[in-house]
Amino acid sequence: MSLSTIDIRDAVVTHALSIGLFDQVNQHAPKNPPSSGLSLSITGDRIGGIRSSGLASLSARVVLTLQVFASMQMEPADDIDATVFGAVDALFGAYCGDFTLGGLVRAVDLIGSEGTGLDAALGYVTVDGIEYRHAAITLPLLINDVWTEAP
Amino acid sequence: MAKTSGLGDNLYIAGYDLSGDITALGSIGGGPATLECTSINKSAIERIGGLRDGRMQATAYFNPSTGQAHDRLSNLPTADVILTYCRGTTLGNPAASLVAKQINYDGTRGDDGAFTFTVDAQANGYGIEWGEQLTAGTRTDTEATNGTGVEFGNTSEDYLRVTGTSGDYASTPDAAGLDITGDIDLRVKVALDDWTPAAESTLIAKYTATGDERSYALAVTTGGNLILRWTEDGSTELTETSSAAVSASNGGTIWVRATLDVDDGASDAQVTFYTSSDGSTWTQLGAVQAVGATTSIYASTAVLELGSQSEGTVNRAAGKIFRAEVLSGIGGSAVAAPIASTSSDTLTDATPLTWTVQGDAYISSRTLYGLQAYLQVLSFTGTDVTIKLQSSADDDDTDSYADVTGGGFTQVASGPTSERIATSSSLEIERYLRVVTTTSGGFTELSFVVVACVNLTATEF
Repeated sequence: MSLSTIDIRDAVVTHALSIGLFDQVNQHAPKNPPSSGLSLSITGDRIGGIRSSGLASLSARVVLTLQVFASMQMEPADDIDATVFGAVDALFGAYCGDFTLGGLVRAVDLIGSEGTGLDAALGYVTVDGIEYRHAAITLPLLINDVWTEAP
Repeated sequence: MAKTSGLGDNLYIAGYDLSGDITALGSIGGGPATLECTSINKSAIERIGGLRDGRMQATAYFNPSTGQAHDRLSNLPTADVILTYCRGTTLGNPAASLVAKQINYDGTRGDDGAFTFTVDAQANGYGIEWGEQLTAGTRTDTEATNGTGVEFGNTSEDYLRVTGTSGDYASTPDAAGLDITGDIDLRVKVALDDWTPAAESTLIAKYTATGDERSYALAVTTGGNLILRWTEDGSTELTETSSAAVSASNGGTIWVRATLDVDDGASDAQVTFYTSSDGSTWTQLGAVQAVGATTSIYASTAVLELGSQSEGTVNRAAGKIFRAEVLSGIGGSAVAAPIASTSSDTLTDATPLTWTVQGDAYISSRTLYGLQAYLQVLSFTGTDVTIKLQSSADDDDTDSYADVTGGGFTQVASGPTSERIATSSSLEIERYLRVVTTTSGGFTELSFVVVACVNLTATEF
């Protein structure tokens, strides 16, 4: 198994689009205020080796950050949190339902066997002066035998 | 970089490379069990070594692919399996091998989602055996191939190899301390290829015909007797020969010694010959030889040399010279004490003298207790291949590689497979080993691993 970042990203994007909740799915951090509805940005967070590697090769843990943006101008305001939770729920469901991303990775580390598991933290962010309800999803991916070890 | 990590290791089980599926090795162990034998007059426990044992424990991932962990390990065969752990995959790196029973394949599904298996293997018949890799991890041949030599035995018995060819010897320049004119004591630890050589074979000499610079020389005659040569004036030779021949088989190692008492107090001189197995306890060889008159030794300008006279040209010996001593006085102080050393690739001499190995003579080493070897054939395409060990004293420089007796694995016609072989436990193993593949019907692909365990001490199974 190799570190096919493009394929992994595309798989994550496909899941996000297939949910049908997001007006936009970007593969970069937002440079302008996101849409007035729900939007998602997918960016890399960290990459490293993991202890559950084979004897002669290093397996990888790649963490992606998925940021859900919901405009604070959405109505009804009381449903904004529910909308964000619903988006996170749908994404989590997608990852649990395809935890190898179609065979691209050993597993989405759902329960955190190699660190923090699948996780989301909610908060508020301001982009270009506009406030958003925001969920930052940590998506840890375990990938087998990415780098061969040699002295 | 003396200390290393365990990164880049491999584990082969019964001809399968499971390195990628093994996350940890919990134990690579073994050794003799101890038997307590404490006597009543001791205040601490006494133990002696008992049965040898060995074990390996591995933690494997769940990998159901063909030829991978679950496919191979879940079978739990009752027959032996051979495990080989390679510490890194560099030629000559250490490796541990084990003929064992795989006794379990116990899965654990953790609450974090991880799914791993514990595999224990317990030795059957031989215990854990550490050796060195004769292939750099997995070696792939596509035709009959001579592998690269790996050096063994730096910690074993080093020697100077002299071939009997003109110019092949070792020497140190003339020095004042070597100009012994009175009593002398010459000692050499040597293994002649032929202890009844076709021509007289000089072991150590300060004895050069050119310019009549002859002092002293110890040699073996064609009859296998020791002969001491010396002159009083550099030209007129005096000799005494042992009345008995050295008792050693061809290639056998023994200490030989000659002493010259230039004045025995009775208007005579005496030459006495000895042999020894350890260089300290000497057994007289034949009768004491009376010279007939007192004598002296000429102080020549000749070099002191091993394996010949006259700087490698006269009475050349063929064999192995391990060490030698020239003592001033019988049992006196050493004025020369060369010891062959592979670590410096020359003869070291603490007296001190500087020795030079000349011509095609060379320094090498050997072990005397045979070897065991392990083979893991991962894949094979072709009709047949024979994998065997060959050895050389100097990595094919002067001494060509030749088959190790008993060092051939069973001909392979299919893979995966694995095998352990052992040579005679008294077989002399030369300094370099390599793995060669030969075929009669041809092959196009062979992936395999060979580990050799050369015994540095007497080892029996």
